[in-house]
Amino acid sequence: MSMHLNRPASSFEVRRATRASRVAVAGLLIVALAVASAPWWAGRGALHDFVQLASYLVFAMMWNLLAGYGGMVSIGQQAFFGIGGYGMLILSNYGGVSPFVAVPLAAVIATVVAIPVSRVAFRLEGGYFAIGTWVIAEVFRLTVANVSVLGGGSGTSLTALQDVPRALRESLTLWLALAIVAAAIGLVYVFLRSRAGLALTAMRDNAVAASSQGVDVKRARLIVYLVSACGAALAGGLYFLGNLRISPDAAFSVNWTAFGIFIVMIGGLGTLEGPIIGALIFFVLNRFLSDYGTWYLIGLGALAIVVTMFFPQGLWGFVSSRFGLQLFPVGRRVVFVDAGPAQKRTTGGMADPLDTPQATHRA
Amino acid sequence: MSALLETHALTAFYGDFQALFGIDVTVAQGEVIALIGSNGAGKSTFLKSVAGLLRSRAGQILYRGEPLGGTAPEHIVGKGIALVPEGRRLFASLTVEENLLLGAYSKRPGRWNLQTIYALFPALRERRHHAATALSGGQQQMVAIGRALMSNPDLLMCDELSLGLAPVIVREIYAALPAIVADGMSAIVVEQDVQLARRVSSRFYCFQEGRVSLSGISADVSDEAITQAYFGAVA
Amino acid sequence: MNTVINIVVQGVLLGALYGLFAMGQSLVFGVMRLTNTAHGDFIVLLVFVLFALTAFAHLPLAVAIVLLLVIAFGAGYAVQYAILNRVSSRDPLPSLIVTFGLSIVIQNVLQQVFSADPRSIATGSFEAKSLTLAGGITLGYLPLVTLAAAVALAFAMQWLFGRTPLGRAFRATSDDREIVQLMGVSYRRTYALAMGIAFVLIAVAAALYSMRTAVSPTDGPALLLYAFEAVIIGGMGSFWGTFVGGMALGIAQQAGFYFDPGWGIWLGHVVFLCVLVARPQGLLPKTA
Repeated sequence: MSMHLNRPASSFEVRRATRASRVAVAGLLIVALAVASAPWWAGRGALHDFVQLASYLVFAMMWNLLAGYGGMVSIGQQAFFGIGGYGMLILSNYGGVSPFVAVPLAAVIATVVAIPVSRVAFRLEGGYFAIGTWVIAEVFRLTVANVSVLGGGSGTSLTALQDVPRALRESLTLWLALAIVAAAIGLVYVFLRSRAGLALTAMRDNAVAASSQGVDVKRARLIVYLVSACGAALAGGLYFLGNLRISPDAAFSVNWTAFGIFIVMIGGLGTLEGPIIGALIFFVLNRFLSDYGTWYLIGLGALAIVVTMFFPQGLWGFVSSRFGLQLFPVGRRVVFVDAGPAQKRTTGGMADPLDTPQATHRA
Repeated sequence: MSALLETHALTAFYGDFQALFGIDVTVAQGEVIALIGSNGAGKSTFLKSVAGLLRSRAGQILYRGEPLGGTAPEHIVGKGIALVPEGRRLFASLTVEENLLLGAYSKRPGRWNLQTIYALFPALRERRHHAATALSGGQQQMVAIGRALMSNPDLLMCDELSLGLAPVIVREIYAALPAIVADGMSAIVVEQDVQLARRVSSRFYCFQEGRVSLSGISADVSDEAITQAYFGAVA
Repeated sequence: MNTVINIVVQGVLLGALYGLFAMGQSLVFGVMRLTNTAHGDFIVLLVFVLFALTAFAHLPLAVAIVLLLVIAFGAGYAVQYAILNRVSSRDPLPSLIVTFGLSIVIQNVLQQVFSADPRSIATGSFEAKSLTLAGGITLGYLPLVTLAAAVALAFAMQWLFGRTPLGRAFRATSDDREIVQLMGVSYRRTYALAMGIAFVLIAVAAALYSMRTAVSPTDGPALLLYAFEAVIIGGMGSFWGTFVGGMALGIAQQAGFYFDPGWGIWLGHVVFLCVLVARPQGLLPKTA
């Protein structure tokens, strides 16, 4: 693509939404309404499923935010998931707080805890940062497992809702789940569209260049880490509220991170719709295939290997860049309005997938 | 004189961006040619293509009459082509001597070994066990040249030896060039300093935005012609 | 006082094993900046290969171990060349995902083939032999052999990296894999070679580990964390550092175990975190 300097520059505008994205947003609103009314038409199993799916979704979005935008791959986000869960339980069972209020409160606690944790974890970089966060999560797990008041290794139950009628409890849990999902999507969406989001993208692509442009890289990283911890804790509190029972192995399991990784593999890194699609697929797969135990897991593992080797942008990333789809309008496309159809291509070709984590984000 | 290296319509890309648009360059046995041009003109890209660091098509580069394009870079040095890369690119974990020894990894026979390199650049002998990157810029450039020479090449390619160095150091380094090519080694010298390039070479090519804008005998060409070709004034 | 000495001695002996776990990882991270989350699972995999060689193929232990080392080298070379070379780049995420996937596959394949039961390698009565020092401190023969192996291999690795052409090629590839090609070194082959050697180190560790403890298919992740902690505590870039880091971790864990079995591993993790905060470069970092 050569630039002919003799022609006057065409006028252009920056467009946010695509037709596909407008359809998707509308679809999402409809789905949200349907879910909100679910207590009146859905069975118990479906309500429970939705709460679980919501937890998976929020956790995955937060993991994606941290890895895709913060550029920090963590194998230890389950630490905050567990703190959210146990925090909710402690506040409810021993603090007399309503569990529905305890969930966001526990998230605040987790965010505060994340501050000293980040001081330790940020001593490491890249792959070693990833494993270091895992060690930290293990410390939390072992600590809780050794505290017999909390049920030690076998865990304990949420008793604070024992007197609440089951239907009411399940409805309230569902609406809380919906609220949390909406808040999470909304927060991430607004964040990514903002200047802060652009700064993060710049930082992820090239930290040195970004900081020379005035982006405070350290502070931006810390904020992303805290936001991600907060979201993970919300997911955790919600999950165990729906589950009514918690144990250290379930709360602090590295499987949560494995799951976050899987989402990224399907959905690609750094898009907003990626984790949503990935979480849905994972949930469905889990439902129908987990009976096959080890074979299912072998298949997942092999899939992860193959997809990463051949589709570095993730499956959704591949589809999205092949067909030019982007469901959530967080990118910016430059469109030359007075040019012919041939000029309407977006500027900038596909980057080499081995050098940038993903190429679907057109900033 | 037979051609040692020939390129035919050589193209090069960085991703989608095209850096070279059909370069025809010839280097004969035993001659020193210069590539001049402003930043981004494609001179380093040319050297990287010959060295195999950038992919080319087989027929675009011929070495001793055989197609070289597409060969993996680790096989290029075995054929007798060595590159002194832009910016030195010494190995930071290795000492001066270890950097030089690594240059001999391909075990090509010839007159260059540790002793002859130290004879050429005596300053390096005293510092042989120092970390390579702890040396001054000029000394690092000597290590980089020595490292390339240790492979006993028939074609030595030097990318901007003068980069970041004081003029007196640059003179010192280029003063060693005649001794280096004395036994018939060919060389391609990429230089931004046009006068320096003309002095050390017999022929030159001027690059401008990925194309050869002028070529000829270094001693004969006029300053005007070079300026026009260098900056690409509209013809 | 005797208790303290005993804790330190047992810690050193345990730490020698951790040092062996860690050396392979130190090598791999040093040469190709690869974070291999399946590191522990490869140890477990090699344990089960050894088990298969002795229990199913009925090979004598010595023969089986030699064969294991050969198989290990080949497997490491192949895994790196075919799979991991594709994801060994500046971005840590692809290698993390791929090795995570490998970890899951290995654990579950082993479970499928061998069931989830822990296995160990029988060595006759060797594993029970020990010598007793004054003050009632017992030194098991097996831990002593482990210590000797760890020391020998640390020497060997340090020599390989510092004094041989291959070691120079390793270090140079780690510094600048693009330019090292100009010297005739293929970085893809170098990476594969490094992984092959790392697997041999892992195989030695696996053999000694399985003679001492029963190993189950899901033990991998825990071993990964110990190896990683040993590398960080000791300081990156030096095999002796990794060795010392293993010792430190072993001692920390033994101290924890002494107070309460539940807190053993925990204390190891906490000591690691303290070192990370107080002295992030480790105890014996390589001076650049």
